This record gives sequence, structure tokens and C-alpha cells, in this order.
Amino acid sequence: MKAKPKHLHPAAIIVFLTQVVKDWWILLVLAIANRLWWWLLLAVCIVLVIEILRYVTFTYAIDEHEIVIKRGLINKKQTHLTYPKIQTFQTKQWFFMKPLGLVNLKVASSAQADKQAEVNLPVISMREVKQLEKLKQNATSNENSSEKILDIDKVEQHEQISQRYQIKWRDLNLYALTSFSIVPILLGLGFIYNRLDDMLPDGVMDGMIKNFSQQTEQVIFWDIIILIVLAAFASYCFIVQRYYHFKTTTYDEQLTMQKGFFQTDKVTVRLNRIQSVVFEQSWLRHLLHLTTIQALVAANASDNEQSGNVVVIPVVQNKASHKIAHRFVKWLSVENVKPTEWLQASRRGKWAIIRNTGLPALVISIGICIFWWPYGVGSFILLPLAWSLGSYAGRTTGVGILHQDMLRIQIGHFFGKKTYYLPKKNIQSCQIKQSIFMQRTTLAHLIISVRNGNVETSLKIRYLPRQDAHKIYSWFAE
Amino acid sequence: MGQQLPESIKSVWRLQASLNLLIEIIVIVGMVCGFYFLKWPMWIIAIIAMIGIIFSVGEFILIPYRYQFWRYQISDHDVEMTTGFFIKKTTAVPILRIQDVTLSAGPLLQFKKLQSVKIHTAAAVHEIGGVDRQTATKLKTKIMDLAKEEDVYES
Repeated sequence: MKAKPKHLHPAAIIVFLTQVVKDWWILLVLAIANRLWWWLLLAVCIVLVIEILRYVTFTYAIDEHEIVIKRGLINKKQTHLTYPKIQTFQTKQWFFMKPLGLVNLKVASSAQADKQAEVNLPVISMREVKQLEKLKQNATSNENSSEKILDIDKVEQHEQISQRYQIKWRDLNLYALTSFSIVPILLGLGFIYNRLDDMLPDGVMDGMIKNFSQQTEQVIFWDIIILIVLAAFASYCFIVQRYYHFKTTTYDEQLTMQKGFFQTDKVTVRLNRIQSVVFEQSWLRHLLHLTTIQALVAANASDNEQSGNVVVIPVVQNKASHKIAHRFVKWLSVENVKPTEWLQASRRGKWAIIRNTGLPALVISIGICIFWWPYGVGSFILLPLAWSLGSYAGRTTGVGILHQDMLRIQIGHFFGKKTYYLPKKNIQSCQIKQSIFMQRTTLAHLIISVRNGNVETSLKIRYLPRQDAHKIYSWFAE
Repeated sequence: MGQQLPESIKSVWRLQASLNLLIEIIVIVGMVCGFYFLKWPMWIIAIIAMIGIIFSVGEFILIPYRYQFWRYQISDHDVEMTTGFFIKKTTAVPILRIQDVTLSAGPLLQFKKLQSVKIHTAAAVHEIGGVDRQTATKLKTKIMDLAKEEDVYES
């Protein structure tokens, strides 16, 4: 069966156009501010022509075995993606697209060729997504066992939801409050300030600053406090709307995560395609005994451009975390079992980690002291901080073989920690690194490399005793 | 342990280092011209020249070292590589994780009839600096055969 190539829904032109506006809004604002109407008209015409051409030349076909996408006018491009190769299947739907039954669909394989998902259909109808899901389901069930040639209806029955998790309002609040993403927002504000400074006519910004600097110190202080509170509140609202109605379900070996208030974001991944499961605790959540459970996938499916971390459970009490993770990912154990042999940095190694964090802190402190005498002495408070950071990292970082084909790696960083459960089949390579100084002390770093999104994640367990590092290495290489 | 790269790789590296030196000299000459005609400050040129010379000398000195400590070994189920002495790295890549093997040769490697072998896993690329063409092809077929035997990589 050869499906006929189709165009996207005409609303795609609007999506393309908004993307253009998003990319060039600064120029647009400038043009309007400087009243360059004719240039603006010219630009709009060019953009319109380009985007309509893009729409006309973009076709897709959903076949029995593959999706085919054709695009480009001068530089023609064809992408074929067969169903068994699909890693993640992601739909995004803005609230205003819901009544129209339209969604944005991204399908990605594990190929590393492109930064973006192989198949990105900005606007297609919900019906087609359903059809695609069925075809995909069929393809994989055929692949798994040749006897199981099911017709579509049967698959449908099969698809009973076996597990589900729905976030509670309290948990959502906890998650948003402990996300602590005020820092990126402040950075963002700084970035916007810089941009505006470059873009706006000279007088405007200077005037504002002058106005500001005439205020008394107290007023400035309060302004800054208000700004920070506003940023924190904005970040809180942002996270609440993004994780609103967060829901995780499994059915038929598939894990689906759904979330979002304004934009419903739904990611589906087959359970056996999950590279690793991560229990993450930032320092704040560590303090409150909370854990975030994430899955690493081999394709680009997260909010973040590069990484493939998909949140499975946003926030859960430490004690309950393994139980709930086991419900969704069967190969995890129900309890938080420590491996029989938990390998950590030796006493000598722990000292080396403390030294590595302490020395830079010492250098910085001395530098500050010299430049800012005598107040700079206060910066020596960095030293105990660096010491405790190093000793914490040394105490929490470790690795152990859980059973024949699973590794448990825990990495401590900045008073938080990440615990990886990593099946042997998903470890891409294993490396032992040893500098000449470490030969004397018989220590070695162990570096385990995993696929994460479109990039590599290296898990470094530092300053292990050499024979311990070799234990893992030979377990892996056998 | 393991197999050493062919002796001729050293002359390739030497050629490479000489080429880099040549480029540096051209840059420095250009900057001296800048000093004469455009009144550039002399000390910047001196610093850049110093850095360039230090790097080049280092590159030359490190060639025997690099050669001596770069080993590889291919067994039935994995590829092992060891590089370096000051910072010694031992890497194991199971053949089942190998996605593809790239053989490539720039003009310098071609001149010495060598080829570099790049082993791609789903996460990263590992390189065996240069081996002669026969070994490279043998390596490639061996890896690909071993990879074929087992079921396709399921990630």
C-alpha cells in the first residue's frame, strides 16, 4: 500500500509565520519604532513568499511501513522513517488547537544526524496521529512475534491501561516550589537587559538608568527584592502551567507522559527503549526528602533541546520512590536495594576530591582578599563550603553491580544526587582513566558512557581504588 | 597489551606537526608585516609567537610518547583501546554496541597508505589513529561480521 503524499493542514502557515516572528521580533520592533514602513512591507512580502513555498513543498505520507517526508524547493530532502525504529513519539497541542482537532507531532529515531527530530509535522489532525499510532503498534507487535498478527481492533483491546499516575495539586505545588529556577530567570532578565541596551536608541536606556540611580539606596534595595520575588513567582507559575495535570500511564509496553495547561505535551516511549532510569534530588529536594524520577531516552523528547531526560514522576517521597518507579518500569526493583558491593572512593580518593574543590576556592578567596582588603577576608567562608561540598561528593558518589546485567551509579553533586539504574545493554562504553599521579596512589576514574537524547552522557565515578574500577570494567567487558 | 599502530604513523604525525608549524610561521610573518605597516604593538606578536613555538615543540616531542602508548585490541566481543602514559585511558567498547565503522584518510594518511578507523556507538566516537589499509579493512569486516551475528542493536 502506498499512501498518497499530503500537505499539512493550512494552519501550518500560521505556525511557520509565528516562528519567523519569534526569531526576528527584535528587528520587527526596531522597524516599527523607526517607522521603516516600506522596508517592513518588503520584508513581510519576502517572508510570506518563503513560508508559502515552504508549505507547498512540504508533503508527508503515512505508509504501512514508514513515514515519508519530502521538503525543499531547490535543495530537496526526503526523510524515511520506518516504524520499528521509532524511539519517541511526541505530540504538542496548544489549547486553541484542541477544538480544531489539530496537533504538532514529532517522531524521532536514535539517529544522530540531525539536531531536530527526524519527523516534525507542525500541524496535522488528531485522526492521523491515531492512525499512525495504530500502524506503529502493528509494526512492533509483528516484529516481536510473527504469530501475533493482530488486526487493529484486537490491538485496541490489548491496549488496556495497566498503570497510571496523576499528579496531585499538593505535589505539583511542591515540585514548582522546589524547582528553584529563579537563577535562570535572573540570567534571562540580564540577557534581555543587554539585548535592549544594544537595540534601543541610546537615550532611552541611559535615561532609565539615570532615573534609577537618583533613587535612594533603600528604594533600590526594595526594587531588587521585588524583582527577585516577581521572578520567583513567574517561575512558579511557569512550572505549574507546564506540569499541570501531569499524568503517566503505561499500556502494552509503552510509557506515556502527559502534561501542560496551555500546551498539552504528550510523550510516548516503548519501555524497552528507555536507556536508564534516574532518581534525581537537587539540594533542596534532598533536604525535603523528595525525589524526581526521570527516564533517559535515545532521542530528543524533553523540553531541553539537547538532553533526553523525560520526567516520569515529578516529585515523590524518597521512601515511596522505588515502589512507584517499579510500577511503571518493571525491570527496576521494588526496594532501594544496595548492591552487595558498593564501590566508593577510598579514604585517599575522598581526600583528593576535597582537595580538588578546596584548592580553587582557596585561590579565589586569596584573590578576593588581595583585591578587596580587608572586607575580602569574609570570602574565606568559601573554604568550609568547598570542603563540605567535596566531602559530600566523595561520600555519595559510588557504583555497584546490582545483578548480572544492571549497574547502579550514584553521583553526588552540590548537595544533591542522581542515582542511575543502568542495564548493561545500554552502556555504550566503559573507560578507566588514570593520571600518572594516580598510579602511585593506585586510584582511577571510572567513566561510563550512556546515550542521552542526541548526545552522550558520561557518568564519572572519580578516585575509585584501581582494583574496584577494574571490577566494573571486567564485568562490562566479559 | 594489544597491538601497536604502524611505525609509519609517526612520520604522518611529524608531517602534521611540520604543517602546523608552517602555518604558525606564516601567521607570525603576517603579524610582523602588520607591525611594520600598521604599527601593531610588538609584544602581542612576541607572545603569540612564543605560544606557537611552545605548542609546536611540544607536538614534536610528544610524538614518540603518543606512539608508544597507543594500543588497540580486538577480541571476539569487544574493542579495547589504551592511550597515554601521563593520563592513561583504557576504553572498552562491546562489538554489539557498535553502530558503524568509518574508515577515512586525509592526504597525509593517504601518502603513507594508512587509514584511520572511527568506531561509532550510539553515544560517542572512538578512534584508532591510523592503521595500514589491509588491517583497516580486516578490522572493519571483523567488527561488522561480529556485529551482524547477534541480533540487531535494540535501544
